[in-house]
Amino acid sequence: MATLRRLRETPRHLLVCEKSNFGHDKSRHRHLVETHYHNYRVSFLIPECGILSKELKNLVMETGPYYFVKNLPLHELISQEFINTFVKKGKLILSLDKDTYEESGLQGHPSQYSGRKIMKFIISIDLMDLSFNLDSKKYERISWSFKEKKPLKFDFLLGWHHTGMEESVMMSYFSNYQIQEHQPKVSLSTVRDLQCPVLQSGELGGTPEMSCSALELFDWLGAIFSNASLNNEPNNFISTYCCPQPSTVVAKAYLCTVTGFILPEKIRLLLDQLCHYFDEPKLAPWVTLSVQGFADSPVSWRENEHGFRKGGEHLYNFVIFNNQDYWLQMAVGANDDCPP
Amino acid sequence: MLTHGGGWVKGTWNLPVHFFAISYESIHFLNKKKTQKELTGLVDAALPLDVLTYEEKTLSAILRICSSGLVKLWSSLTLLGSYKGKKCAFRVIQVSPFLLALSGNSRELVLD
Repeated sequence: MATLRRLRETPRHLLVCEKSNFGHDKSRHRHLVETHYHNYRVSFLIPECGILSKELKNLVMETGPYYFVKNLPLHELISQEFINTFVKKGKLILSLDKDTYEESGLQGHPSQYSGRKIMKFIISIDLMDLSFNLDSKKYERISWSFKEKKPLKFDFLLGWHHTGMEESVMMSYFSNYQIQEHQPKVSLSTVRDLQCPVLQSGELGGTPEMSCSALELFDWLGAIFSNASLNNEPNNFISTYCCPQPSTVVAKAYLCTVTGFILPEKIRLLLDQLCHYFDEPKLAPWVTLSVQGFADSPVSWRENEHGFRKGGEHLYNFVIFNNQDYWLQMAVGANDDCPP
Repeated sequence: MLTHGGGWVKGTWNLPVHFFAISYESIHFLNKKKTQKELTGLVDAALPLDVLTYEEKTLSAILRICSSGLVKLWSSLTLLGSYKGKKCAFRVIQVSPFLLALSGNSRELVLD
């Protein structure tokens, strides 16, 4: 019986849904966008829209560039020059397996999601603290570990939010390591005669026969971006999934997806611009902005530990209403802290 | 648990379904409708299953199963080596209770 019960178990996931208004003093939307660092995919959906505005189009086309460096030794990231040039404040967080951790000779702590046997360790190095104390024993030890004891090299994706400095500084700084510049991939499309759920901004859980819930909207959005059919009959042999009810049909909707290594600052600009979408009267009752993190990122929000487990999900979605109310859904997987 | 207060409502829901993205190799000889039906037929005998999408070009599909059937479906797909005498293989690419998570896979980012 215990075996049968275990066969029906799945790793726990969390979906947190909250609602607020962009005008609220205590609204956390900016903070949550800015502290979700490693973003792989950003998508938005605008019902009743056939052409993107110039401002939105420009923002979408300017989400890059990002950089790819192969075999970069870790000690480069703790050099004074690197910290002074690129880092205003920040931490270097390493997620290491047991053997690498023990060979590194550095102090860390076990992963929160270890079972009986601890297989993963996290080392967190405050870069600003380090750069102010170059003579300290701590810096000596870390330097010795990265240069001699266990020289680690990784392929890195780099994104740099800079004001004033030129883009080319990044390229020339890592020129010894064959740095490549990449632009995020942008995909734009218009969908015709789309069934959209009816939503009421004040009713997160939906109201029977009046509006759909946040959870239904979240699944429907996934169906749209996965190109699933929404019109199946309940007795269809192949699929019974259909658009949540109540729903309306919109003549057209604009979909946009950007993939790459996308900075939270760029996402914040997109969110602000989408909020301004309703400055002029529009047919659309709401628009959505969804962001998905890298499955293998060691952190989700801030320094919250993130693990892959079976899916590596950490994503969030805004539903922006025409009255500046919003819904925010944050989803994480099994080896994750609860979203903030 | 849902609590109401001011402008904030925070809740976590029981997530009753799981979504699979899979690809199958060696099944290029089956056409679209037939593949969906046959795939559904394999597991449908024991568990209700939805084939949400099927793409012939990439031989990939997204399946929906209730969470209590996840382990059975995943192991069935992994262990299935032939169908009607023809060799085949299923590769599970992504699994999540969030369909939105399946619309992007960061492990597929190609940079070289």
